[in-house]
Amino acid sequence: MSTAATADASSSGDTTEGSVRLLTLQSEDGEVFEVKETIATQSVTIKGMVDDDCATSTIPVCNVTGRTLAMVIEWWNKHEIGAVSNEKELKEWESQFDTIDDKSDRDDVYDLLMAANYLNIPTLLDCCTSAVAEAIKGKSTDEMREFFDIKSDFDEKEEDALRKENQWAFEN
Amino acid sequence: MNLIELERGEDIISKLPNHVLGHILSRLDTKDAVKTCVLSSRWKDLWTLIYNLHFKYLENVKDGGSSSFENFVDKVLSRCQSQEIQDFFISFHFSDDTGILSRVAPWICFAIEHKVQNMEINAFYNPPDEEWLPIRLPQSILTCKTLVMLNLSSGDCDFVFDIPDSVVCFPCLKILHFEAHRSNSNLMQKFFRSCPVLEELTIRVDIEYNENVLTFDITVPTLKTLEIHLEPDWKGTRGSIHKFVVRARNLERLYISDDTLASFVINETPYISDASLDGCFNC
Repeated sequence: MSTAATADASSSGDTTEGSVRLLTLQSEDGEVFEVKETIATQSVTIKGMVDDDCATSTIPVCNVTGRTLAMVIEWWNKHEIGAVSNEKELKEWESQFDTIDDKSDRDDVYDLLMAANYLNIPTLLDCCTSAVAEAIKGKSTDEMREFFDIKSDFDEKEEDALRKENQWAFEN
Repeated sequence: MNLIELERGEDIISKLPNHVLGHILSRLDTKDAVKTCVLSSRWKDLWTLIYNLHFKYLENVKDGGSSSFENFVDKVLSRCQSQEIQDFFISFHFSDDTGILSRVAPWICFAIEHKVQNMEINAFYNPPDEEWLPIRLPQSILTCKTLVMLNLSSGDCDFVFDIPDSVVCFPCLKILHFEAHRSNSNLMQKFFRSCPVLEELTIRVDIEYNENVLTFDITVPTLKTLEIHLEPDWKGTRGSIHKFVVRARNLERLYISDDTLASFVINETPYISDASLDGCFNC
């Protein structure tokens, strides 16, 4: 996946490029990105900071790596009004995020989910939650545990009781 | 290396915040969302955060009768923590008028009380002979201020409700799909014209049982898309010749499929740009 934004570690605070204001975002692992304010405000969290005049210095993006933040910025760039000529093209581009074929895809989607949640980006959150839901569909309990690395802390008796309590769901 | 990368191979999904997991589970059929309760103690009650309810009951599944399905729906509704329901979709087959039918109205009331936006009810009756059943909807559906989409479809039964005179009904309803079999004339004259902001209307009428000529009054100034599908019964009987009166000055798209020789009076549609007529017409 390509990095759509320029990393510039020497910069801090907001700057302007032409008449467009640039915001500086810093990932958890210290990578710095300059992003147009008009693009970054697709994040409800960042929009709130801009509206409250709190986006004047470097904005730390906690729990999000530089690699993930670059993907988020790519998402913003594609979803900027006028960036993609038609809805079909956008959906085709989004499809790289909406399926989880293996555990590597799965981990990317987790990282994007955490970022979409922290930055409050509804379009990205929708796409990633949909991807995880698709991965859950059609899997048995054991298959889900294996795929998502979920370790059960129930003993056999507790699990049986839960199955019995929700019998209809398990039998149909 | 950062914290997230150190956790690779571990159970990251369970570490996602509750509301994110609620989003994920809301995208599943409710049955599948509930089944996640056995994954681990973290997941035991997560399904109660779902805000979309999708129930499907097919009579031929191995389940020991519909009563366990009814109990399942009752239980899900009683444990659902979301104050606002986005989608409430329920699809079921039934073969007698006891049991499931008595539960439908309380289920719909639950959805309305929880500010439902999109509601779809598919009811299919498997009668022992050529019977037909009315399914009465709760009157509170008429005044629901959050309902934007309503889809009512049925087989060998009809949804019925009373529309009082001079009352604005379905104040926010924009999309309506309605299927009628033995629908009564009074309802068809009042239903559609009572929807003040309706933009998309699809009516399917199965002519089979209608003994009387029905007049469908589609006086809806906000309507943009209208689809009417008329089908004769499976024996090929054409039944009664129904009449459709359309007054929709903002209509842009009209599609009529008719094999029953119904009568159409279409007035005041200056903006129509896409019209399609299919079937045998008695012009």
